Amino acid sequence: MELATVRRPTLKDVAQAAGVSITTVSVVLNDRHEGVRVPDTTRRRVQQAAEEIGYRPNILARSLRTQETRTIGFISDEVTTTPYAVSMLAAAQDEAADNGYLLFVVNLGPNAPLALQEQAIEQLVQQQVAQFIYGCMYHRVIEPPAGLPADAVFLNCEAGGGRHRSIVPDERLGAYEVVTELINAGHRRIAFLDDHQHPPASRLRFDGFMAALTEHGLDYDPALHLETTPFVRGGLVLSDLISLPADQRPTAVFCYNDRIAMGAYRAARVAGLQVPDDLSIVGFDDQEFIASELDPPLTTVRLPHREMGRLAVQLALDEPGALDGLPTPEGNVIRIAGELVRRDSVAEPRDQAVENSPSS
Amino acid sequence: MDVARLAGVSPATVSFVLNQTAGQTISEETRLRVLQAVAELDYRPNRAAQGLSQGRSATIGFVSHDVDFGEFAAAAIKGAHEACLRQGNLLLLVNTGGSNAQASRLISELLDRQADALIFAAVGTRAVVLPDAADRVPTVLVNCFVAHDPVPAILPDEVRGGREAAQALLDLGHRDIAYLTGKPSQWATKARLRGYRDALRAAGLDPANHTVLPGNYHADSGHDLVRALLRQRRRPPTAIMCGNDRMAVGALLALLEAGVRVPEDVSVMGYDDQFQLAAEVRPALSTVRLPYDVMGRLAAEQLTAGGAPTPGRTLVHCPVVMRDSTAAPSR
Repeated sequence: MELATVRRPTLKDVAQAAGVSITTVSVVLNDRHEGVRVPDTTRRRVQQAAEEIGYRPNILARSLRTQETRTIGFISDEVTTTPYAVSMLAAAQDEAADNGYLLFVVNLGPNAPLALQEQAIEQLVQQQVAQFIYGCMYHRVIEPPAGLPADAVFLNCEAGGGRHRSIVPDERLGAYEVVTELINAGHRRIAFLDDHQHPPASRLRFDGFMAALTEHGLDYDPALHLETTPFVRGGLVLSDLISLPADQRPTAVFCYNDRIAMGAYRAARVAGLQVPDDLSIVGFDDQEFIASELDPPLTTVRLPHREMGRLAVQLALDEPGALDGLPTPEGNVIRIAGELVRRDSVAEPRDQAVENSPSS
Repeated sequence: MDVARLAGVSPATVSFVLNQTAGQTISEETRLRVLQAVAELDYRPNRAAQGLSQGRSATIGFVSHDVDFGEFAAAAIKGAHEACLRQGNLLLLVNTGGSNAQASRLISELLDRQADALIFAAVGTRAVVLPDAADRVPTVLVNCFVAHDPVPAILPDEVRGGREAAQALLDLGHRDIAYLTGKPSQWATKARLRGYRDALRAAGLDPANHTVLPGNYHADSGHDLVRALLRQRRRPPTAIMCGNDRMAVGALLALLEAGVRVPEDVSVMGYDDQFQLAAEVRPALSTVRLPYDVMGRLAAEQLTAGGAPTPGRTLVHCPVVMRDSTAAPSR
C-alpha cells in the first residue's frame, strides 16, 4: 500500500518532553517493572508529557514481546453484506470492544474456494491474530477450512466433523413457539410455506411446526405444506390454498421466512382477504425493514443474531461464565433461542358460520 | 532466527530470500536450503513486525458511526473490503453506536494497532464531529461530512438522483408527478426534492402545480400519503415518486387496495434500490440505486492509491434502475 506515513510519537519523544530516560518512560507507560521504582512525581510528569504529545502505546510493537495484538479475525461468507446477518457482526464488534479487542473482518463471498479461505486465514495469522470466528449468512453446515485453529468459533453455521464449537439459532424452538401462538388463537388448519431447497433451518422449523401440532392433538395435512422459493414471490403460492373449498382452506399460515410472508400478504390481498381478520400469517427471521413495515406488522420469530454474535466473542476470548443460563449444548453445537415478536398479523379464526359462507 | 540456524545461513540471508530483496545474489542452492528450513519449521512471516519496520501495517480502520451496522453500512463495508483485499490490506472494523466519545476511544484503539488510514462512515447523510485523533492518519469520510469540508468526503449525488428519477418519469411522458418525500429535515430529502424541482422546471413545468407531501421514510407513510392523495385529488397524478423504497411499498399497497393499477394507471418510483426488497416486490420497483458499495470502495481506493485522497466532496452518481412499476401514462 502506498500510504503517506505519519510519524507517531515514540517513547523517545516522551522521554525528551519529560526530561527523563527512555527506560523510565518505558517503565511508566508500558507498566514494566524490571526492578525500577519510579517516584510518583516523575510518573505523573511522564504521563502528562505522553498525553500532551499524543503518545499511544504501540500494540504491534508490544506484540513482538507478548505475541498478542488483541485482535480477533472474523471470517465470513457474506455476513457483512446481508442485512439480517450483519447484526451478528455488530454485536461481535461491541463485545470485542468492551474487552479491548478489535475485529479484522474478511468477507469471502458466497461459496469461496477452500484455497481462498485458507489464504485469508494465513493473512490473519501473519497479522498475529490468535482468535477466530467463522460466520455464515444463513444457518448451514460447512467444511472447516484448514489453518483454522481448533478453538475457532463457528457462528450461524455448524462445522462439519463436530470438532469446533458452533453457535446457531434454535430454529425448532422458534417454529414451535410461533405455531403454538396460532394454535392458542384457535387455529386448527395451519399451512406451512416451506423453503423448497430444504436448508438445515427448513428441516428444523418443520420439526418445530410438527411438535406444536402433535402437542395440541392436531393432524399434519400434507396438502397444506407447500414448498416454494424463499423470496417474496414465493409467498404468492398461497393463492393455491386460498382457492380451496372453505372447509379445507387454512385459517392461518406459517411462513418459512418474512419475505415469503410478504408475498403471502399480497396473495391474501389480491383475493380480497384481510390479514388477520380473514387469515392469520406469521413469519420467521424478524427481518429489518420488512417484518415491522408490513401492513399489518408481522408476528414473527426474531433470529437471536445479536446474542449469537456476542457469545461468539465471549467463547473466542474464553470469558468465564459465557455459557451460564444457556441450555446444555448437544456436543459442540450451542442453540440460542429467538424471541417470539407479537405484532398484529394473528387473530382468532372467523367462526364456523362465516367460514362456510361463499368465498369473496 | 530458527530458520537461519537450521539452514546454516545468516538471518539477513533468510530475510533476503523470503522478502525477495532485489540486488542480492544468493545461490539457488542456498535459496532452496532456506525454503526447506521454512517449510520444516512452518515459519510464517510476522506481518505485524514487518509493519513496524516499514512504518505501515497494511490495515485500514473502518469506523461505522451509527447505532448499529445496518444494511447500508454493510454495503459500504463490502465495497471498502473488496478494494482493501485487492491491495493486500486488511480491514479493522469498529462501530461507535453513534457516540462521539466511543468514536474517539475506538479510533485510538485503531491507531494503537497502527492502522495506516481510516474510513469514517455514517448512514443517513449528515454532518459529523470527527475525533481529533483521526488527524494523525489519512482519513476519508463516507456518507457524512465535517463543517467546511477540511476532511475529504464521499457523498451520494442526491440532487442528481432526484433529478434523474423525475426525468425518467418525464421521459415516459408523465406531466403530473406527485412527490411523497422522506423526512423533510434530512439532508437527502432536501437534495432529492431540489433535483425533482430542477427536472420539472427544465421540462417547462411549474413545480408549484405538483403535489409534494412530506413523509417519514417508512412504509406506513407511503400508504397513508397515497390515501390522502387519492382523497384530495379528483384526478390522481399519473406518477408518484417516493422518498424511498419502503414508502413506495406502502404506496403500492394503498394503490392495490384502492383498485388503482400499477403501472397501467399510475407509475411508482422508489429510491435506495433496497436489498431483497425493490427487485422482489410485485410489481418490481423502479428506483434509484444508493451506491454505498461504490462509496466504500472509492474511499479505500483513494486511501491506498498513493498521494493524498481527493480533497473536498466527491459526489457519487446514484443511477436510476427501471423495473416494472413505471410505464407511459395512459392519459
